[in-house]
Amino acid sequence: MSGFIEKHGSELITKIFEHLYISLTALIIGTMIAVPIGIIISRNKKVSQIVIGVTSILQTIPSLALLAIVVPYLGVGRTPAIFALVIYSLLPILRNTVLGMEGVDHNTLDAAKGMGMNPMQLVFKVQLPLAMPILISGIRLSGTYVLAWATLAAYIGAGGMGDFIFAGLNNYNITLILVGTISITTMTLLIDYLFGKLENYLTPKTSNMIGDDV
Amino acid sequence: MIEFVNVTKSFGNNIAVDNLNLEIEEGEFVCLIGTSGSGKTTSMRMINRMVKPTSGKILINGKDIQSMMNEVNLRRSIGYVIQQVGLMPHMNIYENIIMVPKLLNWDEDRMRKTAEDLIERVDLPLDLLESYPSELSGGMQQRIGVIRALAADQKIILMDEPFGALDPITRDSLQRLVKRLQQDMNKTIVFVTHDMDEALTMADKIVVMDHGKVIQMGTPEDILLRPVNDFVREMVGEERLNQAVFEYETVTKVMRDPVKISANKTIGQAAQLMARTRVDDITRVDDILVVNDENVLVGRIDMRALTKRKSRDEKVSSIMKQVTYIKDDTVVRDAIYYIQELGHRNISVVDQEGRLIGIVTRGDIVSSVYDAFWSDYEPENEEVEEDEAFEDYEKVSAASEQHQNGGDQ
Repeated sequence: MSGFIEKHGSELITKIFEHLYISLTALIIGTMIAVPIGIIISRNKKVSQIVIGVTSILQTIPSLALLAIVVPYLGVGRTPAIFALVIYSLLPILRNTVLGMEGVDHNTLDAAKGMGMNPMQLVFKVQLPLAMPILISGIRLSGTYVLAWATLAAYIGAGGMGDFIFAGLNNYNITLILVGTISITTMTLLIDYLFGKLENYLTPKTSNMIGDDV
Repeated sequence: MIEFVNVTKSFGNNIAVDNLNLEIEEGEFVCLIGTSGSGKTTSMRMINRMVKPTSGKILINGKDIQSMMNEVNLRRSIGYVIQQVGLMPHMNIYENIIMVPKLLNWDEDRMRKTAEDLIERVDLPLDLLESYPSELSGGMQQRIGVIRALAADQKIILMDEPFGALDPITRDSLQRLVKRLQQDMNKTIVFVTHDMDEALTMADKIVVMDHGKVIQMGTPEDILLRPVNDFVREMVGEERLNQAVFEYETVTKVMRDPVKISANKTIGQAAQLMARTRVDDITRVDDILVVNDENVLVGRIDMRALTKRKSRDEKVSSIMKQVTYIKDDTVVRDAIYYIQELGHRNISVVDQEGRLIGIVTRGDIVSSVYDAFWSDYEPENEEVEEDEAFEDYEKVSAASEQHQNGGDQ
């Protein structure tokens, strides 16, 4: 083990950061695209069904195939990997945003509208805060997916922990595979935990009773 | 203050409100009542433009709301209370109450003061301001819902079955609260309900709607005493209609013609009159009422007075006694009270100038009560008087006697 650290230690850290960089960039871009679209399409049931349908189809493209498809257009490296991961991250975020926005009690919305909130105030002061827990859990879900799929990004030269696993596969080096897998699992659990914290933090308070919010 | 002019609203082929014309005065409490699908809620929601009329216009203070200002400003000037309360779950009570003032950018001190004033008005503790809606009971939530609609000093308040989901006791106290607030603060309230009791106790004006049309419009008294058709009768309910006779009808409805005599007639003539009426049995009244030349009631004479040894030629005014009377605008319920509780056998009815117009007897009251509550009551063994049934009855009673005897042995 100490031999492994000596040999691969600095590479491991580099790859972990690469992996996180690819995944989180994809997740952030995905969130920035999916949340606004989700908010807009949630206002119209028909449109939201169509958009979610299209995103679901994108989701069914095998990840390896998608990576292969983007190469001719975007070349190899991080950019195409991030692009592919963004597409993968869209659906859970989009769907949860729409569900969250549509799930807000329509009486609450009726009252807010009837008292004179304009459409922007309705979205940002009522709908979005109340949709926040569901919305965040969509991002959380996407986060775990993206971290796992980023492994494949190594195939098109994006780097990340995939390099360890593929190197291990090619050289029949179990240690490399295990280190890669355990690192990814650890990252995923950590990110999931952090999003859990974020979810609690962003969930609006609806009670003074201790423990009600958590 | 609010005026509907030929307002129609249709959803596709379905006409929800059909050519509605309605005028609501300032400070008036108007109840829109009807079954579901009658268009009452749609009508109300057109006032704050939550629903856009298909044709016709709605005026507030003479201005067409469709062209007046943007809908958001209109809504901020009109209070809005719905059945499901619709408090914002993620805002505490204080933030909920000051929702509209905040939209109007009031300063913090003014909002704080308004919220505290209002919460005291509805008898809730100040520290409730920091609570969240989920921590309040349904009744408390709707109290907040009501004061939220008052916070920006709205002149018009729309209420859509606000107490429909509450238990009867809570509903009762909230009804009184809202009525009190409305009178204290001179609000114009448009109140949608399907509960006739609620409408009758709270409204100044009731608008009965069915299938988008106004069936009848009037004060609770109008609706109770003069329902225009069977639909309204059914909405009100037979029992209430009958009771209404006592609460709103005046005694002129149940009184009969009095037996009267002029004060300057003689005792002899009075005796004659009394004898004649007793024979004719027009009335079982033992009294004769005495009136002056203008038909103003001045007294009464009874049998005992006539038997006093006086000359037959003396004027009746010499033996007449004091008389109890009620004015012609007295309601039946009060007349019942005078007769039942104060022990009068009968009471004379006079008009506003004191002229005798009738008399109400104990018998009249009994028959009006009977009409109201017992008119469709029939004893179960009514057939007993018919021969055949009577025989059956005898057989049955004979059988039961035998049975009883058998039981004794």
